[in-house]
Amino acid sequence: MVDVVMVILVFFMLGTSLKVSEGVLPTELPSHLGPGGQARVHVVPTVRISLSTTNSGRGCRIRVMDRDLPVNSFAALASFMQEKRLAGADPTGRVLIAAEPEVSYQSVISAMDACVRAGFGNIQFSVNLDIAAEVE
Amino acid sequence: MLKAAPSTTPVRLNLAPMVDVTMCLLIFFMVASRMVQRENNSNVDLPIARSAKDADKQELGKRFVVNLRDVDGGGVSYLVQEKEVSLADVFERLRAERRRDADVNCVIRADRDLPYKYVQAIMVCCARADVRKVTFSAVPRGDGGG
Repeated sequence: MVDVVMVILVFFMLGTSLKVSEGVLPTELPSHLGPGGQARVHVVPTVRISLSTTNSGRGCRIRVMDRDLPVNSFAALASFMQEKRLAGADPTGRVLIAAEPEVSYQSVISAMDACVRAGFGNIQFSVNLDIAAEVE
Repeated sequence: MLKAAPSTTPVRLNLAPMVDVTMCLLIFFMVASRMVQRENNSNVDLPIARSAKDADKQELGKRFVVNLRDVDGGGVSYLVQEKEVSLADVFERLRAERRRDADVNCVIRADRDLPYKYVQAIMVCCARADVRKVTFSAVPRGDGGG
């Protein structure tokens, strides 16, 4: 009996430590949102990134500061952001990611990842306040 | 003169305390692994982000975890503690958590291939429930799709 219990114990000990490592990307919603504060406001970001779907619906078109980057090239976005940072852009400045509803979640996270890697920490998302009613 | 042989007392190993401790450890690990599973649905295909910080080392405070899974044939299912809930339920729960703790952190665990609109809907719920802290779960490896 002791043998069996020991085997089960080792199994659960390994099982809890072998879980897939998970990372997090924290962000904070702006204070003008919330109950009674759902006004449409105009924000002036330091960098604005627009993500939209391509005509085929498979790729993600990236547009940053009125400049088109190659489709799905988040490495190019990371390079652009690093250049911007080296050129003296304020790392605490607001970076706004505006993504179309049909863009894949991975694309949005990749855009956020590129900004964080370039040293920009204040990342905000443009959201459609009526989206909740649309997806219900 | 012959000497009498020393009397030998049999030594018996008492395993009872060891079994008690082992059983306690076993129950602890079984319950712990179950609790982790309940919150984090392992069937979610998280997005990849190289800059994601290790979740275990981050001070996230009081967490409210929402899992979003792709449903075959389109659509999404929202899961909170293994239970499928509607978006309205997610909002109500977020509001209740916000009342209990002003510093509650909404952790979004979504399938990487889901359209962004479903994640956006959760963010709108957070804004309406006055939950300011939103955290995206990701797998910290790879080149982030670039």
